Amino acid sequence: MADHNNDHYDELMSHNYDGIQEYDNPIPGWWHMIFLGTVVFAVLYVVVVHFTSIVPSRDEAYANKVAAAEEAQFGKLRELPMDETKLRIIMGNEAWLNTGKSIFDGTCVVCHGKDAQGITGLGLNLTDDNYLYVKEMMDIVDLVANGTENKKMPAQTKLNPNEVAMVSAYAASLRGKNVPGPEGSDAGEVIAPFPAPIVDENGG
Amino acid sequence: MAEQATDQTSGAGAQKHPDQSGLEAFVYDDKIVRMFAWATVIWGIVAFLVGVIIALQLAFPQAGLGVSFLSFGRLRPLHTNAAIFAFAGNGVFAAVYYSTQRLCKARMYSDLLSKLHFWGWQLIIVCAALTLPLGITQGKEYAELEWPIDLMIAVVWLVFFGGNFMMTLIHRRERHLYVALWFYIATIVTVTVLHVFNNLWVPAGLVYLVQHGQMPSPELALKSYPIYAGVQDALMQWWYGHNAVAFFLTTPFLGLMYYFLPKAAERPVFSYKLSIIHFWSLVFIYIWAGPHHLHYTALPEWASTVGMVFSVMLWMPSWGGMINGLMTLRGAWHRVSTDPILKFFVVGITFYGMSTFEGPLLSVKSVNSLSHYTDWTIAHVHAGVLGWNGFMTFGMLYWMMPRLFQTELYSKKLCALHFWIGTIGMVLYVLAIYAAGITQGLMWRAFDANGRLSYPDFVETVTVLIPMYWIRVVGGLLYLTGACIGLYNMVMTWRARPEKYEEVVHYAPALSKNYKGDPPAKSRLGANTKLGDAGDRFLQGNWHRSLERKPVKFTIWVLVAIAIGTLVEAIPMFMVSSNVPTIATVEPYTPLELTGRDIYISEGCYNCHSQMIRPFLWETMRYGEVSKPGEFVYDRPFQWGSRRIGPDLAREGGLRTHLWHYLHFKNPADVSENSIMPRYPWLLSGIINFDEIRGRVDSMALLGVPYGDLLLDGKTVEHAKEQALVIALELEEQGGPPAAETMDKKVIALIAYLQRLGTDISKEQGEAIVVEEVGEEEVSP
Repeated sequence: MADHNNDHYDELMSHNYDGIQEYDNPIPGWWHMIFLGTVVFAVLYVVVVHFTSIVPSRDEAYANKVAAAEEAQFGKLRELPMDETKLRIIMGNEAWLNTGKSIFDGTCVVCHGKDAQGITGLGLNLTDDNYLYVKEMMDIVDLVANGTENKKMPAQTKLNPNEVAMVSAYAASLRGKNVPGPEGSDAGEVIAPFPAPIVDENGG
Repeated sequence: MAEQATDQTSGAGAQKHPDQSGLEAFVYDDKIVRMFAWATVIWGIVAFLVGVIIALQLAFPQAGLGVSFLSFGRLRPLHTNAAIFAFAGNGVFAAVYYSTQRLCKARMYSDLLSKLHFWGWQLIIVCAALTLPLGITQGKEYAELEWPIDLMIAVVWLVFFGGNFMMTLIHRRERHLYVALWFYIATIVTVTVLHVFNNLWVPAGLVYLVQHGQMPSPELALKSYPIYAGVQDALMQWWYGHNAVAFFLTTPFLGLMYYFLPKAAERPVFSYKLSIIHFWSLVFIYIWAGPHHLHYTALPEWASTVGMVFSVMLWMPSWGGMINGLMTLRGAWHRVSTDPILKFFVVGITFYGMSTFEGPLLSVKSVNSLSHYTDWTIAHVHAGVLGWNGFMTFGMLYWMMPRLFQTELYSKKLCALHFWIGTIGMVLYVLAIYAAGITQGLMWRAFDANGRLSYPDFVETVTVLIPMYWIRVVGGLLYLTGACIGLYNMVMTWRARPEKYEEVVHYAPALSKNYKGDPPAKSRLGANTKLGDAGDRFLQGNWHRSLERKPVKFTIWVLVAIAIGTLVEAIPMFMVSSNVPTIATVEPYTPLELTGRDIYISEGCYNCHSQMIRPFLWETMRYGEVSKPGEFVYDRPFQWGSRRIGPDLAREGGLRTHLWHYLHFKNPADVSENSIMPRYPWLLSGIINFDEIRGRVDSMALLGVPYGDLLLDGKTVEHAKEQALVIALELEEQGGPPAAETMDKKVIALIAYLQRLGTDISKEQGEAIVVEEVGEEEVSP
């Protein structure tokens, strides 16, 4: 090291504390340089982030992400009115149905179970033909958005309308899988079959 | 042979040397050091053991046995408090009492204060060990201890410890203060300030006693509410929390290092100049860094930026200590291979270097967006505490053992075994938990091809960590085993002590009053300008030499250094209202919800659940709308949390039925197969003390919460009972137990609170929480 050529290197200072001595060595140059570097970074960071518009603010950055994600997730779906046709179109589109499953896994499984087979006392089996609160497919949308009147199922207020449509379509698509559920999870009665999915050959 | 000194010999009233040479005789008090050393090891083992117990509960939730005082939420604070304040704390005191006397050439100022300090501190620890498992907590991390214990800490720390220490400095016989003492001064001053300002509260039991003339139950008597709420409470808490790391786990250990490392290595300290500059830059900069614990939260962005850039600037000041430590070992490296004490120090300092590089890294906002709420933080702190604090402490203890017990160390081999077993345990622990943290962080933010969460079910992101959690249990067990070997070695060394400890009498002159000071430095420049010469003289550091002669002045400058960052961050947060924009629909918690919230705090739910949704798509898709500062104005204390072992609860209100919560508390696995949450059977049977809700509500009112008519006589209790009945009836309708069985149970209050969480912003204005009037007759028997 270059420092060792310095006459003053490893020169002991005169004091002695309980036998401990100290060298009068200079602080390593790289210590100064990095310290200075972090100070320069700090100043630049504050100026660039808070006093220019080069980098979007925390809230702007989030808003941009949300807007981009809306487009990516829902695309054409956003223009369709909330009706049975919309659900049938989702049911015929694998990507949207997968989105419905993702929402279902994050929202519904806590009561209806991982395979929608139902949980005793909480949620009904959604894979059989028996329904308690549903007479036709659009009733599912109403259930998800508003819950049941007796508050056994809460309204899923966290979801936006397109998410509600997707998760409802996914729930409808589970019918007929007939996963065995716990006792009592098959409450309700058999209702008419749901209308068939609409498959758009050109994609969603 | 030195004469036997009497017990009365102290720094203050020292005897004169028999030959009348003006020398004073004094004896160091090593008994107090021995006491702190024993306490360090014993509490260390307790802290590690509790750590292993709660680590086991995460890997194997049934290990909690459904017992309240063994539940994770209650024991985790016991683990952290024991590790920080009992293990590291007693270690620091042992170091301070041993080194300060020798660096000052004086016995501690007062043996009585030393003893009061020791026994007072152990009493505080015992109180902590009794109250925390009982759920008596302030609900703020590392500041969990309730108000009477806070008062004890203030007295023991500032008066007994601080007073004794400062008076010893004042009565010292060494002209200049060595760098170790600077770090001790910074520790004592700053911890006092942090402790006092983060623990300002209103004790609910006293309010109840004064306003209603009734004796509160122990539960209410020990309950307090902080004077800060929401965002401000968060700022104060993390100003405290971060600087507890700085001034309880960093500065005193640097002081320890500066004394015991050159002693053990028998080498001079590498650079005096570096000591000066890294001391002052560390003390000045550290205090600003707290807000980096709150990146992307409802804390204003400017404060977050301040926290981040000061953390980045803290890198080199921290490393100054590492450089001075490792470079001091030059010329002694060959001894590291044979001396286990130096091994402890080298690994300790290396872990310090890694942690203080990682700290700034984690404070960078984008890194933090990944690491925050994950095990990465847990790995980081364990690298710091197990590696730096633990190993420096053990190195110091092994160095002191032969000196304190005045005999040979019982076994150097066992000492080396402790080192290796501890190192392996530590490495297993941190590697597994780093992996766990990064895995979970990446899973939370993973999107599938459709732009949706790849792992929407939170539990999925937990089950995948279980193997890593088992490795942690093994790592922790190894570290604990190492500590037990250390205790055994210490006991065996102690057993070989002499019948009576020799008390060596030392002689030194008292400091003369008319010290002229060092000769002024000469400018090396020979410049023509006075300014240039003055600048060079400043750089040579003589001004600091003179400061080292004045402990009181030194202390005041430390206080100034830490006050600047504190005030710059705190004043705008309290004075500028735009930092917390008001939301009209956000209203106070109802009396029952407030009671439920206190249960939430008491059970330590915040140890696993956050209440803060950050502005990221993956976060809002999972949890709902971004959290706003105005939503927390009635949160005393704030409960944003720091780790998501379970999901965020900021918008939990209304998401699930009462029955779901009821069954979930009864046994989480019944409704969520792979959940690692403990069972809470005691909440299902525990009774709400409705009468004392008045003490809770009145305390809040005293702090300015607008409860209006509810404060009128009897209204508080009536309102709480009505709301409990409504919830109990709904629970019954959903298929739960009869309302008559549940309407007075704690679980109902907790459900009331959970169902309220995060719902206020979606309320129409003026739509208060209306509790329907329900007659008693509607309750089914």
